[in-house]
Amino acid sequence: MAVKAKRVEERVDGNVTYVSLEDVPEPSNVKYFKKQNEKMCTLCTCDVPVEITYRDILILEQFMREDGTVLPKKLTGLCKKQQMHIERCIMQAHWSGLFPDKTRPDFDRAGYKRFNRHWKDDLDIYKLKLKEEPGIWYYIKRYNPKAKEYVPRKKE
Amino acid sequence: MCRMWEAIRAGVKWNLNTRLANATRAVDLKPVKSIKFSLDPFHHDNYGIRTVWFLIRRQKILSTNPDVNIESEIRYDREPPYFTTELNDGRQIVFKTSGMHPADIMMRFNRLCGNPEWGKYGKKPPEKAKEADLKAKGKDKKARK
Repeated sequence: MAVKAKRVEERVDGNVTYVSLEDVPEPSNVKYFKKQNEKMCTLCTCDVPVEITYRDILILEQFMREDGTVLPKKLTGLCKKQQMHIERCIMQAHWSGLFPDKTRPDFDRAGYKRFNRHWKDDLDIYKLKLKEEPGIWYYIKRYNPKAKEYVPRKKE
Repeated sequence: MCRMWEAIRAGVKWNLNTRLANATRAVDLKPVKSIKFSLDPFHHDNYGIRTVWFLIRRQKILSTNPDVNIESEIRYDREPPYFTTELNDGRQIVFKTSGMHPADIMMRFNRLCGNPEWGKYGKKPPEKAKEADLKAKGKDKKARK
């Protein structure tokens, strides 16, 4: 069954504007396909061989509004997993400065956050990074503060 | 990081009721001279215009322009509802609301009056909420002076 689309029309007549809801006429060359499985995720079916990262802005822009927000799952038609993947990638792209036209004034860019950040992975935002410097543990193990308390066991 | 996440996900959470509340926050009646609501009470599609009417008659919105003249007209001709506004520029808007959600009506109204479509999103910061509370109770020190 065809979906009837509607559109808000503003007609200006001199000083008066008339606002009303009008039907959008169906195109004459409409082809009716067989009813497929309605829950088809476009990214799962495309089977892209490479993982989508925050650097693929041309793909990510298709799921965004112009002010930088993400479209809801109902409009994008993605499955939950792909939707969250794309939302995380868009957030990473915002933080790495790849959307200069789409920054919003709510964004907190004070202090260390004014610099661009980069990630290896999509789930990297949830991973805590521990800095390992090879010199430190070696130094600590060298000095044993409890050395004086050590009393060797007497051999019987 | 959390605030940016919220700001990005604001587009995902397109809940019409919250959008309606956000649009009513932005309503500013300064460029408006008068509004007239005209509806047939037995028409099936009155929901939009009635919610808009109810929300515009709030004290906060009316206090932006105390000279606004809000009228009503109840008809019995089984025609769809509409409301007309007169702006200070001399423009008139005839808004036929049948089939539209009140959030859409508020957005269009804001846009045609020349105001931003959306108000501020989120709760008041706690300092401002405290001040508003104290003012309401009459314990504001500045008011007494």
